[in-house]
Amino acid sequence: MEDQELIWLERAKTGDRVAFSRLVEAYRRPVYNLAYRMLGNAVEAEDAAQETFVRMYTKLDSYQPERKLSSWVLAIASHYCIDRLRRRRGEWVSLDEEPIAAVLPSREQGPEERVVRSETRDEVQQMVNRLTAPYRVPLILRYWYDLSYVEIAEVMGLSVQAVKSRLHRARLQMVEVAPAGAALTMTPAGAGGVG
Amino acid sequence: MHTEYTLLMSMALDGEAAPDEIRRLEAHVTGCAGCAAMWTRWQALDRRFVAAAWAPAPANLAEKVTARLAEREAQKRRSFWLGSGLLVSWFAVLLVSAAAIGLLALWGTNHPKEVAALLSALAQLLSGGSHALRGIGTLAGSFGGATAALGFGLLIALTGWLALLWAWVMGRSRQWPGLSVSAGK
Ligand SMILES: [Zn+2]
Repeated sequence: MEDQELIWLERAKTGDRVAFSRLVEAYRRPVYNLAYRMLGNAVEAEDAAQETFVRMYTKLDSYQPERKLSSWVLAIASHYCIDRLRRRRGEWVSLDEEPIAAVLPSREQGPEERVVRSETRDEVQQMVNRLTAPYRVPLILRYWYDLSYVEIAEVMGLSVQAVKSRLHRARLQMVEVAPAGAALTMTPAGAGGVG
Repeated sequence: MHTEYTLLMSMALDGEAAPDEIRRLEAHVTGCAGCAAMWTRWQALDRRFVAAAWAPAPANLAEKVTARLAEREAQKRRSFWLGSGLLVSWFAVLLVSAAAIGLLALWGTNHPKEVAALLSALAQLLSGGSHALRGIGTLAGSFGGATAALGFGLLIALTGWLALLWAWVMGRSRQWPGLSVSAGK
């Protein structure tokens, strides 16, 4: 899979737009989902996804083949979304921000996707929305992309230690700001062992 | 609540805790009510996140990216041409007006009457124009330099013509946003 993508990448470097479109198609879903989870709404997510690919196109020459292509693409997307969140209104997103619910019919899903009840998705997004930008990325990469600390560190350009600490603090932040009676506190039943 | 153990909880949830760390955590949680409550909460949180779906991406994203790339390149080309065009036109105007002033100065010393007639005609032309042009004409005239006034007028007229010409050229390229701005110059 990645071999074919590297061939497209080489062609795209020479200006082959069709090859680049193939790459966009290959990373359309992960990039869009990352943008959506980072920004919390579909309109901004689509714009950010497009911008990510435009940036990727202008940076094709700087791609180093020893790096995983997916890590590189996710890195571009996450850095762009962090910038965008910072520009949006300071570092914090207000707590009463309306979650955008008019999305996510579970059509066209791939193997990584799980079918869930719609209110779970919204609650999860609401919790992500409460985090500051630097904490959103590792959490999203951890849960939606199943990346390990090492892989998250590679995407974010951080040390493994920093990733570990950010995920820890992200969880602390989420339970701190979760309003009383939120989903988190409602489901202690069935909390099993570790694993 | 003990930070050492919440860190272990976080690592355990991420599948990054070693077996002995997990045992240590479980032993602590059985004896610490605060950490036990937190652990329960975090596990519930974890289950919700693990179950979260992917946001479905728009199907035509690749086409939109292609369109955006084309638009960015067109923008780049336009600003290049706009910049270089303005530079070239200013340079041309300066050259032409310098030459005109030189020639008129040479000719005017031998034909003062004609110069006066030409100037009055030009002054009329200028005064027929806008207040700004008239103001500039008067200002230049007040310096007593007949050729300077003429040069000034020529400079303005030429710049206007070149700007219009440039606007026309640029207007022929697709959707030029700066057209109205430049034409009004
Ligand atoms: Zn404790």
